[in-house]
Amino acid sequence: MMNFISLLHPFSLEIGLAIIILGLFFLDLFSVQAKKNIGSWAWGLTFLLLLIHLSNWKHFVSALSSTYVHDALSFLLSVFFLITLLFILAMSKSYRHRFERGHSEFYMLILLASLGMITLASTTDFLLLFVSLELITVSFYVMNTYLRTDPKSIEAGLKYLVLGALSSGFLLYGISFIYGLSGSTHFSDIARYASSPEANAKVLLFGFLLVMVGVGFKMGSVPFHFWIPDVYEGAPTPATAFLSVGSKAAGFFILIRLTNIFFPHFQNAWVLLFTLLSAITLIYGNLGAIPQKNIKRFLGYSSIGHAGYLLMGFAAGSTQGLHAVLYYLFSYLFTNLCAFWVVILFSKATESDEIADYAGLSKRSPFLAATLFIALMSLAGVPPLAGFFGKFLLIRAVVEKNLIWLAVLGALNVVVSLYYYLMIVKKMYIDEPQNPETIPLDPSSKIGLSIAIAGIIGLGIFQAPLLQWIESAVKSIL
Amino acid sequence: MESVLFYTFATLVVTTALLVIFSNHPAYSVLYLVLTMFGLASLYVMLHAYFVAAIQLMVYAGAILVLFLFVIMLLNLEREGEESFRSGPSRWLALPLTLVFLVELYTVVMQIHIKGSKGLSVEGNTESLGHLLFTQHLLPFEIISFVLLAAILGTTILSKRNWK
Repeated sequence: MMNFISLLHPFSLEIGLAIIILGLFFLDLFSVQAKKNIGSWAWGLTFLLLLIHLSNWKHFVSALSSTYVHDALSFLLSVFFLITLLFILAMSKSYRHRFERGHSEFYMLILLASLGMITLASTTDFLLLFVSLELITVSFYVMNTYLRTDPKSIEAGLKYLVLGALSSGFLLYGISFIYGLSGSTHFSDIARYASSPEANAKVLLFGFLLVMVGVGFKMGSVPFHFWIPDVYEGAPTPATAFLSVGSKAAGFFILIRLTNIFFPHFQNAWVLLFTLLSAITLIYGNLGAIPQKNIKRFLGYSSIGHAGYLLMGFAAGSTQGLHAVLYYLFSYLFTNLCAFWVVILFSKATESDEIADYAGLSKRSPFLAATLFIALMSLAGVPPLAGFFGKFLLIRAVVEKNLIWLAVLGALNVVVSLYYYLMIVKKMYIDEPQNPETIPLDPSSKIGLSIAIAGIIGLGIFQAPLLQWIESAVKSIL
Repeated sequence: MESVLFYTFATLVVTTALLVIFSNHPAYSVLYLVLTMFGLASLYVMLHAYFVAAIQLMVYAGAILVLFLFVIMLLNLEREGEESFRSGPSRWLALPLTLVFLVELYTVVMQIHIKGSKGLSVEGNTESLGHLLFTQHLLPFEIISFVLLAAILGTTILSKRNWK
């Protein structure tokens, strides 16, 4: 039955998500009872969609003159986005008291952004890529401004709007160069043009660099990172968490698809570009995180640092590099969402995002403190956890390409990051709390956090299944 | 003849676009933007994209910019402060970076041979455009409707005053 539905239509996932969005609109309009539980509805339906999608395993098609493909890679990426979506929907529930109005609309915006991410996962055409990116960005414009009486949230929304529009402009300009040269927006046509003798490599490279501005904005790599600290601090925390995982991953996924087209034709420029970007991003993110006082700003800088690690995989430019990037993103998904969830639960009880207020958290809520401890250690890359194996794969990929200095820089940054992550751990475990009240936790958040922890530890210990899956996915696009 | 017309309109577009940025009064900026849109529409006409040109005039110059003007006049925006954008240390970084970019752009454009696309309709009639939208570009076209949905949702939520 399940497979029958998917055979009927190659777009079952996208249409399913669209139906959920529109259905929730109607529920919200007509049923007062459902309006209160719209978050649970959204979560349940998305979970059902994930199950149906997983049952379609190995059912790959391409549609619309192959501008839209369901290959092993897009399957992997859509599962990534669906898991992210489930986490974000669940954690938004703990944050809804902060919204004076529009509770259900926030869930719909999250779903709309995810729809953009899921179409992005399967696109092999610049036109659809741009439209999907716009869907993501427009939803985030609104989500970032959602606390509209809070000046910080307005600042976050405005900064994201202005810089997002600018980067979209660059992206579009780059696409127009590539289109003008090759006469097509389709990735395979562009690849064919790039390997033909008449190809103008210089202009193609210029177009690619402009595209990289738009993608770099999404990834939050250094010359395009200026929005990150302010937006991460001002936006509602679930939106920040979504930005740091979903939107960032979207940028890296685009780059994975583009690697095939562009990497073979200007390897030297590619390697130079990504080693430099990676090195600057690593240093900036990790040094910037040290003096931060606000936990969301802190995680913002740390996310810049992680973009630096991820770029190492592209600097290597090898299949091993791509495997490492994908593995790292999966470990980053569980780790970062776990950290942000703790931030949400903590701010729900204390109305504070200041790092100073985390003092003595282990006495106020041992569970939250332990969870944040594991998440931070995984972010830093401490051995049995997922973050370690991701970093290990990335550094190995870089060493294989003889970029020893980049590997050393990456390792040094692990030490720096360990320092600032441990500062927070010290606050939580050694310092005395100013307010010894215990922090209440609802059972659903406990379950969610436990799943995230299970993901962090599971990916750290049993790497093989995910790694095999990633290898087969990367093979499908080569 | 064609290149004379092209350069006339191209100059119009570039100069008015610069004036949009450099005028101090927001209302002037919008009026210059109308001229920019007009110049762009003329360029579309020269590319035989008549329908796109008409849409450009009707939607941008006709609808959106008039709305901009309304908002600016209703909000009664004053002349913006001189120091608002144009100061700070970043401007000294912006100038050389822009120059580098322009030089790069110049060298790239000088060696480009646009082959254009013959597959797409350049006649610009609505029939071929509609045909493309509903066949080859169906999916982006559908996704745009969701972009609009997100935008409508956003404006409603962010601007509504009394929410029940």
